[in-house]
Amino acid sequence: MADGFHAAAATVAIREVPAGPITTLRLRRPSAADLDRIGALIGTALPTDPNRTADGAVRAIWIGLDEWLILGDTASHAVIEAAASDAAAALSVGVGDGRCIFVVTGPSAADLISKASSLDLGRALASPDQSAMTLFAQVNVIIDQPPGLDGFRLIFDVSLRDYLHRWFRDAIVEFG
Amino acid sequence: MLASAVRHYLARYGVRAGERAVVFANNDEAYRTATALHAAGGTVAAVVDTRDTVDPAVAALVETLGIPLLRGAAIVATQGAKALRGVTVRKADGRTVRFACDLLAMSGGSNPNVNLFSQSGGRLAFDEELTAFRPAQSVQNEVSVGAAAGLRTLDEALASGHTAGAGKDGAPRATEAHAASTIAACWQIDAPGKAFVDMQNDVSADDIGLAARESFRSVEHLKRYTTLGMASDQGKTSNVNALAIMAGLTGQGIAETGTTRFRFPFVPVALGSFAGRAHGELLRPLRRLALHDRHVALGAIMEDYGWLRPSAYPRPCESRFEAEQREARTVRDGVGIFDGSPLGKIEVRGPDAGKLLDFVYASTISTLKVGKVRYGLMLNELGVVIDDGVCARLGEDHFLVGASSAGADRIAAWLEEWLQCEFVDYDVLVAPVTTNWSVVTLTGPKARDLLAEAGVSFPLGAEAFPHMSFQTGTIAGIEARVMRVSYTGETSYEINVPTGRTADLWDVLTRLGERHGLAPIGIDAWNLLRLEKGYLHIGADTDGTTNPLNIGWDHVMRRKGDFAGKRSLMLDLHKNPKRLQLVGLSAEGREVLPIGAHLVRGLGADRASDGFVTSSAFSPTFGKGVALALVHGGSERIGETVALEHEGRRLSATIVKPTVYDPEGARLNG
Repeated sequence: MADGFHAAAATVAIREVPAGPITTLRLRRPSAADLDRIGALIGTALPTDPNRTADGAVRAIWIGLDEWLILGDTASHAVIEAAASDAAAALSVGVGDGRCIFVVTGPSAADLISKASSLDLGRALASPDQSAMTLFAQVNVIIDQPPGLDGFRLIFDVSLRDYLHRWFRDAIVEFG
Repeated sequence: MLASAVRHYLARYGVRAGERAVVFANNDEAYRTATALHAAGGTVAAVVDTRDTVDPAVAALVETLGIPLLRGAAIVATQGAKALRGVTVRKADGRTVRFACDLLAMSGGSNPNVNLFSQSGGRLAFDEELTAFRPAQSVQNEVSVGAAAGLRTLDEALASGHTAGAGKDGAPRATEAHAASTIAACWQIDAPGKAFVDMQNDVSADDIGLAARESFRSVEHLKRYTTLGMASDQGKTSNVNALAIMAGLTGQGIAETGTTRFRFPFVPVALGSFAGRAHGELLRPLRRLALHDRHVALGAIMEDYGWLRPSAYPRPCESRFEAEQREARTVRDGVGIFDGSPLGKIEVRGPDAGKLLDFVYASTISTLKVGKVRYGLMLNELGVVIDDGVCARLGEDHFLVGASSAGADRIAAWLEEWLQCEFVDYDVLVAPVTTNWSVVTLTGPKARDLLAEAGVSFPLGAEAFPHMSFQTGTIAGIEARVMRVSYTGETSYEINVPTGRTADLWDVLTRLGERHGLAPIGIDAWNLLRLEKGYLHIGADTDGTTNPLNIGWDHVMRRKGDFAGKRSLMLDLHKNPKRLQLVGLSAEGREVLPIGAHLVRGLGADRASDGFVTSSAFSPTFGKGVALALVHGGSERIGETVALEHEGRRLSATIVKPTVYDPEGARLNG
């Protein structure tokens, strides 16, 4: 679905990448044992500190006290579903079709993101295991820093794709 | 125009603000404007100085250039309408003289720039010699220097800066001596006519007088009573003049009258700076459908519903109305395809899911059987209808809540709020999945035949898959969740597929649909079809006061157990049989009743509203206008002929039941 969106300037580049499988995992009042067991089954410890991420067999992004976004291969959804089934109440649902993802790289990547958001990136994303949820160009975004990427991964709602294409094309002009 | 502004135009932009100027001043500094204009090739008709005596050296600056200087004089009138043509000067001897001019440069002296000092909490003092406020006592670790401290010569400014910078001896000196500009206070000219004090907010000396008479004498009251100093210049020119006039009126000194706290911004921020790039197509985010390009290729009129959605698909030489009528007939006679993707979809899961939904819906949901679908209303605590939709039971503890397109985000947040704030002990979780699934709806008597041709992994017969039930499986090999629910009154299949596969499904169905006469259906026809069925459109047929008892849902009050809004609905006022009730209206002839038209009772000045039209359209099925309306005591008035008024027109209609099309529901159950 990425349809090859790509925009580049001298110091920053933006490209849309396929969203791939994404699962929203929610656990009602999870116990430490629940978290350990599920983390072991999906091969990634679920982060419990706000706005932290964890990387293992899949990537887990903290969304709320009882909610994570899991990015990973298709098999993981069934694994998550099975792993969560023993919890008091659990909900895991595929949401990859409802998201679009842009990768922003280059020395001015943070500057470009700052044009769209009032977040202090230096503080909010100081450590590589930090993620952020904020408003970006008036829409909700999750900003992730996956390992191996020299830049940022931005996760949006798919219905805003076209708007974001326009926004990025406009924003990149000032970067030469 | 301010004399300093005239100089700035000359020095910064090389622009003469006028060809023939008169300078009006009470201080030496304004003479620089006269000399600068002269040097730039302009004519200075006169310098009018309110002071009886002017330093001979200053006077010589203009007199040696042949510019007349009138001492002890004042401008008492101006001539000209859209441009200045001349001024009338009252000379020291009381006689008046007129000067032709196209520019009047005024100067009442300058104020030290104390804004930052004032914001730091520092106290100001009024300097009689300067006729201005200057910094007196610092509160923070701050020091004002130069003109900002009220110093008037270059040497004083250099010395103060040097000292402030912790310099010891040897402050730099000016290479030539500069005499300090002198000034004599002149706050108001005694002359008939309006005297503006705040040029931006048009506050006149008379307004200040009125404030004084009304006892708004404190500067803070004066400011708020007259709006003085509240324009984007924040009273830079006007504040001191105004409070000096107020001081004169109250007999208090200027120092006692005081100033308001200077506020930021010192320089106004342009609104464009706040807007940034958020204009044009980036003004606000607009959602797009996965099928956007296909709708456009079909000639759809795309309109802003928060989402860009097709309103109608007019064919060449067809009007929007004609398209709506044709599309509606296609659904009644054959089959239509509709993109309903923005419909809200919220997964609700957990052992207490039924309990939660029994509370947030006015209807009981927990008794729903797996694979079945139920329509329900959601109310707020006041009993007001906030949304409607269908809820499907996917599993024993798993539901899919359908919200209206406009309510998708709001209702997901509403459920989350109840769980986080009230039902913290319920074992249930919610997750909005609206944009993960697109919705393609086939509707019409041929819908089943068409769908069957696409290859469906579950039975489609009316018994195996009846109205208000749910199936999961595949259609044309695409994973699908299908609901048999209908907003049109015809057999309908609401097909949910992962958003990434929407185009694949659409292409299969439209290709197969060709021989069935399949047509895409826009929002216009969609609304018309549901109107014939008397189905609600939340936000159109309901407003911020509409409750279930207004729309024929009295039965919810017989429900056992609590639900959101129930207690509010138990108030006596809702038992009034004359309350607004949803009914249908049948118009006369081919008239289409205007939405918003009021039913009226009584005549002339005594007439009063008896309700109003909420939805209206021309029905191709009945060949006449049909409408929904909220009418006082409406459900007891079926068959009554009523008068309506709208924008001076008087109309007539008959009250009917809300559902005019297939009231038995034979077609949607088929």
